[in-house]
Amino acid sequence: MVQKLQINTVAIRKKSLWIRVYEEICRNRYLYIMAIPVITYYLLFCYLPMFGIVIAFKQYDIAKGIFESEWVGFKYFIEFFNGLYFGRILFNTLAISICDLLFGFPAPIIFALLLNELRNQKFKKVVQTVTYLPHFISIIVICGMIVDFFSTNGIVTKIIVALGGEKINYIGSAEHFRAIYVGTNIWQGVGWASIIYLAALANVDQELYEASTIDGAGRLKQLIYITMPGIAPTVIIMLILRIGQLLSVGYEKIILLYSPATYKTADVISSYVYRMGIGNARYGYSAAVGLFQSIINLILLFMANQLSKRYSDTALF
Amino acid sequence: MILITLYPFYYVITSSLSDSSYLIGDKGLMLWPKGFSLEAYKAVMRNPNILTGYRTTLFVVIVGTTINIIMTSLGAFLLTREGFAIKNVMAYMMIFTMYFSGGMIPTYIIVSKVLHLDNSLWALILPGAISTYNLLIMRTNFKNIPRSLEESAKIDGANDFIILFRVVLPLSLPIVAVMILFYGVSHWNSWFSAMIYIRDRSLYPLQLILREILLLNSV
Repeated sequence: MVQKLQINTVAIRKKSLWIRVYEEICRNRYLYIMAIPVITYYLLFCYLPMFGIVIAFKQYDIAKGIFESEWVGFKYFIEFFNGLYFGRILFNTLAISICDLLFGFPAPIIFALLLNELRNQKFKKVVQTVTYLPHFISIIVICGMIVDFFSTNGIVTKIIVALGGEKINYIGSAEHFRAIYVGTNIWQGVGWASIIYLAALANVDQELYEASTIDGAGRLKQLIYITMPGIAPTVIIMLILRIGQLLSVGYEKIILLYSPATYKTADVISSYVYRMGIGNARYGYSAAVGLFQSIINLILLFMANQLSKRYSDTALF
Repeated sequence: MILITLYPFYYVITSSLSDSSYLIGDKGLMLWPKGFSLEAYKAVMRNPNILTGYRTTLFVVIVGTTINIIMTSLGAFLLTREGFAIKNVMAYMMIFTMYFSGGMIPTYIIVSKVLHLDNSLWALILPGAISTYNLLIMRTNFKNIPRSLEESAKIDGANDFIILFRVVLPLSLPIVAVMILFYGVSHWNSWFSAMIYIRDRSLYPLQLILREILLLNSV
């Protein structure tokens, strides 16, 4: 019996790889036609720059192009780590990023929790719409407003003076840069970011709340024992994503707001890369710095993901 | 909360309607324009850069968003087709780019030196043609469309293009509208790419002109 089966299976010929590939392409030919622009885009604008990272290890000469430029190994990395500004840039990047995380990450969550408590649906909608308007305003306009409001005669300065503070040019002051940056980030982003948390809040089972009311739980206990665990998966995923961007404090806003007077606290890795690379055309050097940043971010992302896998059920991948 | 959010905008509007001589000096908490004047608006209209800025930005927004939507829909659609051999490979390829990218400098070198797109508006449109994040949103939405519709279309002899444009997209119009919003706003607000790629002042988008006015010299 067994031998008969073996003969039967041998009789089925396996088609060669090329024939199978050809058949697959013919069967789904339109899909492959569609795939051409998409794959071209990714290869050209996402993966080719990734290979361009090799510039970090070469003395890039425009005349010679990427492949012919000579290999200098880790020279740029060493130059960066031993450089005058390394400590300052790293410290600023981490300081701004951590402040943004400490204050800017919980703000939308708290805002969403507060919004959730509102009884009046119409008022809630109005507040939502109003608060997420600033997200859509261009960063240039926002920074224009910030520079104006925080200048010596600006309106926020006036409020601070009225509350007993000093009258100085806050935008040119290095000590206050971090606070202004994080504060305005919160102002612009809290409405938009809270949308995700509101959606997560809406997904928490209403029956749990009713059951807890029967058991005699007040609002606070409900918050701690139902709401927080309910939105925990969403919060953790957003936190992991955020940690994966720890070193890449967005350069756009920094570049718009900083000035030589505030380089001491405002210069971050990304803005330094921009100044050195595109400003001074030191491509190899700044590519090395940028690569350093991407790798640290990846490592942080993995670590955060592993930690969350161990201590909770949710993880990004 | 609403007051804190809205007041800055209100202040900007009222100060734009005020006479400039009041603004230069000490400014108080402004609730109403001081010395109503449209002078500021006239100055804006007289500046020719603003008009070219609008023209450039409008072009980038319209053409750019169209290309974005087409490319993103194609990509998302491909990820939902069963029996498509390279589907998983493509998915991994796309998601990887969300976490790791070449960085500012290599991208700059590719776009300006290798592809010679510098000083052209295509440098603003093409490098950002697909946002993987948006593509995933569209894919999730496309997945929710029942397969029976696709199968009945295939029985009627539709090929994949027709399925995409006649069946899937019309059913996903809300998401397409959201994508138009996201991409459109992103193009309208973008300035950094223009700053590093474009030299020709007549090709500056609106945001860059604004930056000159607002941040480099206060007009």
